Amino acid sequence: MAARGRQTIILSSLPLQVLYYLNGWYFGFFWIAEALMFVYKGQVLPFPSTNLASEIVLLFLLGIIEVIRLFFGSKGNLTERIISMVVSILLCLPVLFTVLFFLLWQTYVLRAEVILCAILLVFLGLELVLGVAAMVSFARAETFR
Amino acid sequence: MATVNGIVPARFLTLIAHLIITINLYWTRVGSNSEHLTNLLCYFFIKLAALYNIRTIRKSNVLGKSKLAGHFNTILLELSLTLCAVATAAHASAAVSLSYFVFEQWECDLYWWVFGFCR
Repeated sequence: MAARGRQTIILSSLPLQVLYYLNGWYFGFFWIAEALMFVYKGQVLPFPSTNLASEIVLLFLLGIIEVIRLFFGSKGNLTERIISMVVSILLCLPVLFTVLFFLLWQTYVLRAEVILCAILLVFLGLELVLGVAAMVSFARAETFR
Repeated sequence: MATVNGIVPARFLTLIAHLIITINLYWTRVGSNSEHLTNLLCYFFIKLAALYNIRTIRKSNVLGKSKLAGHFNTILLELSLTLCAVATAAHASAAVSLSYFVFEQWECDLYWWVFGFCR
């Protein structure tokens, strides 16, 4: 919190926090749906031997990175720490490319996957914009302290 | 407070599921048949109308809150929570029936009954 005289101003962004909360729930849904779709694709479609394994590993990695990103983002927003926000914004990059991989470059792209990934990308973009704005406002308050 | 904490993600996830299945439906049916398309457009307008209805209910709820004092608030909160639960249940059942529409290729005429229950 930025202390200015006696009053304290809360700089944490509420829309960003709402987005992180909903993104957490949505990502759980996304991950389960994606895992089930990999089961379906593995059953029905012929895969080159290494592709399926590598895509499933990528899905697990995406889960880990996204959880870390959401944790740092929401904690950084609540405690108004610049470092955590920077970590969260930098972690946007691998998450973005992994989601783009699932959207565009994987072996078989199902129609449901396109929709799921598009919604996740919308979340990601909004969080990126609002996260940068929140970080800038924290940094400005830091200079005036 | 526990009810509120539970109902927000539930509402959100059912809405997302409904959204996904609806987009899927449009995507599959757009190229196929013009009659189906008109039916789907009707469905879309019904959804819009339902959304408008929900908005008006919410507005009236807010109005009621500002008018009534004190302990009526808890009753109104209960009421809006119940409304929210009903809406969630409706969206969930609609998503399930729409997924039957996609996967089992039910007849379009059957859907007028489903839409009838929506109103």
